[in-house]
Amino acid sequence: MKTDHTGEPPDFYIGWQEKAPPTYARPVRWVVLLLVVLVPAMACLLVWQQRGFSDAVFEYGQLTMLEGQLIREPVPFLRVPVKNSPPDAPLFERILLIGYGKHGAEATIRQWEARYGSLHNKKIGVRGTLIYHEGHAALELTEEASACRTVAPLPPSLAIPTTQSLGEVTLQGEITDPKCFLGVMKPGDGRPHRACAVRCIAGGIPPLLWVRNGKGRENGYVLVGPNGERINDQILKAVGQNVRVRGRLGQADNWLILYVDAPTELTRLRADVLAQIALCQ
Amino acid sequence: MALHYSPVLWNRQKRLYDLTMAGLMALYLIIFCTLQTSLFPPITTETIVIRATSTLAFLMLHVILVIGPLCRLDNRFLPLLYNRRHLGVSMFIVAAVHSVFSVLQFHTRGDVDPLVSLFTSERQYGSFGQFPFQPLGFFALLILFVMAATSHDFWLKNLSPRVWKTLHMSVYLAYALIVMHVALGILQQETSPVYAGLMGVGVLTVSGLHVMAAFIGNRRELHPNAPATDGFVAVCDVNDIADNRAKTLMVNGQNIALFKYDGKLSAVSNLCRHQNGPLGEGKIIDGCITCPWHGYQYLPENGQSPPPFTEKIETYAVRCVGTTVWVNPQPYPPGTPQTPALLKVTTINDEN
Ligand code: HEM
Ligand code: FES
Repeated sequence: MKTDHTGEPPDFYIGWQEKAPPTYARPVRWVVLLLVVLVPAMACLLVWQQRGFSDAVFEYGQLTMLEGQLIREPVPFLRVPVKNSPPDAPLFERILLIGYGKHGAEATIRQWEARYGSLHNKKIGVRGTLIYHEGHAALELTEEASACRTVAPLPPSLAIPTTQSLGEVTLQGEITDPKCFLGVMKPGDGRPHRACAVRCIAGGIPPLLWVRNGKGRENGYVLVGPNGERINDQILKAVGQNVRVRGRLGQADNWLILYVDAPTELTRLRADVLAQIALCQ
Repeated sequence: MALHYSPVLWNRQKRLYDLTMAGLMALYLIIFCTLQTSLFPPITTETIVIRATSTLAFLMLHVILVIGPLCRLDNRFLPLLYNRRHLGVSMFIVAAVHSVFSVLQFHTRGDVDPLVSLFTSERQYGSFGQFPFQPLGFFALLILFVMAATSHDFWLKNLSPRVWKTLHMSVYLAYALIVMHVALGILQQETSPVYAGLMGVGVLTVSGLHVMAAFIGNRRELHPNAPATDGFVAVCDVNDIADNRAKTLMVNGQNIALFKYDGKLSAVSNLCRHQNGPLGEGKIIDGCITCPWHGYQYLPENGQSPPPFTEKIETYAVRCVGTTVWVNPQPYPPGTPQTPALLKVTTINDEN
């Protein structure tokens, strides 16, 4: 009978022996072969079946300088004139200002004011990282205190901003944080992202209700209280979930603001049921 | 003694094992990341890292969990088991990369400490469908960490094999936590039935093989139920045991390996002192019971490892009456010498 180097017939194998006898080596070779097929197949399948990501953009590492009027209420915006808009009826675009990390812009703006004095009715030049998606743009104040580069008196051409009232509406969508959703994270919404959205909104980033109408149209609504006050803390429990919200709709240049009537009455959809359906699938 | 254990040495087999493992891991990561960037260009680097490492770790965990029952079903798979701890530690490292990236991405630079955020961002602990999934991953990682940190034989000795084994059984808890982590997390977003299906296949394979191995193992071992005579229980016929091999028995909750060698019979505990490997599936080599898992050795007459080694296992009294083997299921303290039963015709009365 054939023996291995220990003088034993090869019907018994101990892992530390130099070479496994063929009786043992053969099935192991089959396992390895199976894995060589299975491992790439799994990698392909797991990527291929993903639902995809939005084409939202975060210009990471690329700073952009913008000049405009600082708006503080109800949430911080930079209001910039639209290029080539008619001089008799100038158009403006608003860029949502967002702090560095998971923070709102307020603390940074206070740092600017400590340095430059009140920025009310001033034209400022701000450098930051652009975030944009579906006609909504935000600017991360990446350099924080030094993001404000220039301060000048407001030229009369910058009209006094008004918010146009569009009446009462009821909307259904997901409460997201605009920083991640508009480009910083992929995915920036849904269940896996929920904890992060909670963190961002708790940190002062204005909540954004993202509504999809089922026909390919989507739009975002900044959520504030009935008098424009911040409601971040009140809605934390509903963040990252499908909710129905009622309120007074206002348009501030290219942004829609929803003055939520009854923030405590956010009707959460039967998310548990939805989740279970997803699980069953 | 030429054939004694030296479990920490490197050899060709171990190098092959590690090379294959590293090669397959690299292959997975390369394919996953390349495909991810080419099929989904808008994805961020962080998400690629998070997804590539999490799925690789989960896949590796399945392989790890399947090796045990495969070996119990067919011992020719044993070479896969020998180096399983390298697989385990590597899986932990990959899972840790996923966890660290997830915590950095989702919880740092906020208004509270990242670990506080991990547990308090989502608060619906009272709901099943909305239960926060990230803390589940955290506890799974904690278990995997303790296992990886104590995987060295130093800890095995210090914690005692029984405690160590119990500790390492918590891998099943970690597995359950990760399954829930995935089901309550990403599967709520990535709703392709392929994902739910793949995880179902994974869970069924792991649990199915365990049930099958338990069932077949149970059928293979003897369960003598004849009443005891003088404390001894009739177990089997001498000729049922192959030379230098053993039968495994379960009597009164005692897991016993009954060896036949050199015209003698001895019974010892079936649980190896090293990692509770099944000694009854081992073989007598150079006069020593040799564990099939990593080659620890014990003398059949006294359950002691030959010097200079000091491991000891419980021994049991054996008798042979006619061709019937009788075992007393009362264990003697580890290392207690027993007179082996000789394969000759005696009667119980003769011995008394
Ligand atoms: C502190 C610990 C952990 C945290 C914070 C965490 C967090 C996360 C997050 C946020 C996701 C969703 C990511 C996405 O959008 O794709 C995820 C998914 C996943 N996690 Fe974890 N995880 C942790 C530990 C673990 C461990 C130990 C494993 C074990 C293998 C694991 C396995 C998975 C798997 C398989 C997925 C689904 C694939 C994916 O989406 O990446 N996680 N985890
Ligand atoms: S030698 Fe490792 S379990 Fe027996």
